[in-house]
Amino acid sequence: MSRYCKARSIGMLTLLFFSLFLMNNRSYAQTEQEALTLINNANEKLVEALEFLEEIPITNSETKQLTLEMDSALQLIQEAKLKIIENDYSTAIQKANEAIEKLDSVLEQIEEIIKNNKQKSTILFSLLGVFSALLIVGVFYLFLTKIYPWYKIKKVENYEKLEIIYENEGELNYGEKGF
Amino acid sequence: MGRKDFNKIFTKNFNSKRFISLIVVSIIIIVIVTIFSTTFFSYPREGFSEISLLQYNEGEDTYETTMQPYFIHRHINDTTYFMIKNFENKVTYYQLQIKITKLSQTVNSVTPLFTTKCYLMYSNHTYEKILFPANKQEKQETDAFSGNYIWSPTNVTLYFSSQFDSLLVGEGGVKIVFEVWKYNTQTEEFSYSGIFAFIELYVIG
Repeated sequence: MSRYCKARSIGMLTLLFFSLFLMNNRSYAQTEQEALTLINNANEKLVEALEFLEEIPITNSETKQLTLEMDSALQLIQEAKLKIIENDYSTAIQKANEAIEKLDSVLEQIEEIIKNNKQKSTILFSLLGVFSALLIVGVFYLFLTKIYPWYKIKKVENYEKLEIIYENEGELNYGEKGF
Repeated sequence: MGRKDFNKIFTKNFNSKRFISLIVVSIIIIVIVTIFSTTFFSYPREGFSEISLLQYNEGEDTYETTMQPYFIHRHINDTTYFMIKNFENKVTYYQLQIKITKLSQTVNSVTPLFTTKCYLMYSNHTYEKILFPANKQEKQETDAFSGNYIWSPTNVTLYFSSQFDSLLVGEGGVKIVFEVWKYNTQTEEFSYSGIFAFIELYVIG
């Protein structure tokens, strides 16, 4: 083999090695970036779930289960963060994905509960509205049929008790009888 | 006016129908006001959180608040346990920040220890948990170590490394402070709850 051929082979091998090194390094960086992005996504979903959870009353029986699931997702996020420190990016990605999956399910359930609560409150408020309208009509009816006629009768009765008293000739005084 | 006269007047003026309608109308008004006030103005009751520092008693397989260590060796780690209870009346996302500071450093419930005055023993996100609030019955429990409202006793390794040496200048020991932080969904960050506990340790070696 000529000297030229040898140099060319060495050059090609160096180039190949360098490209492989760069590729490996890039994929390493990509994996780390992917893990960090997934952890960030999981964190955002956790915060979103917490905000939504505040809209549900704690007396709701499902809230306890949802809280447990959220805490379990939080622990997965913590584990993923630890794996990043240990440079174990594939496990970190796996943990973060598991956390995202859990949180997606939690978010779905919370949205369902909120939707049901809204439906219930719509029914409740509609009933209250109808009930209030009936009450107002009832009060009006009572007022027009009972209270107002009673008031009128009372008024007439009071007027009937009035009598004209003549104290002096030519002067008129009004007074009440029996009061 | 005699008793007879009073009874006469009372029975004459008493109208049973009017009385019943008055009661019915009052009940209806009370029910409407109650429903509206609970629906529109249901403010969550103010609650609180609780932190305890414990030691595990192997003999009796239980945790005790006494028996906290008084000394720490430079090269030998020690262990303590913390427990947090949620009496906040709402789901709470907790973070425990563990800081080491000078023995003479005062700790208060208004401001947390700033990093200029202490060192963080663990990164802030190391100890985080979401807890469900205690119900009425659980609030009566005094010796519970587990439950949905409890961050069960969790061990923390206490260590003293050479980076903390500056804290010992003029003092023989250090103070390890456990601060409870709560996540605020409005500001979207953790804020100091004002709840804390600490251990004072004299450094040996």
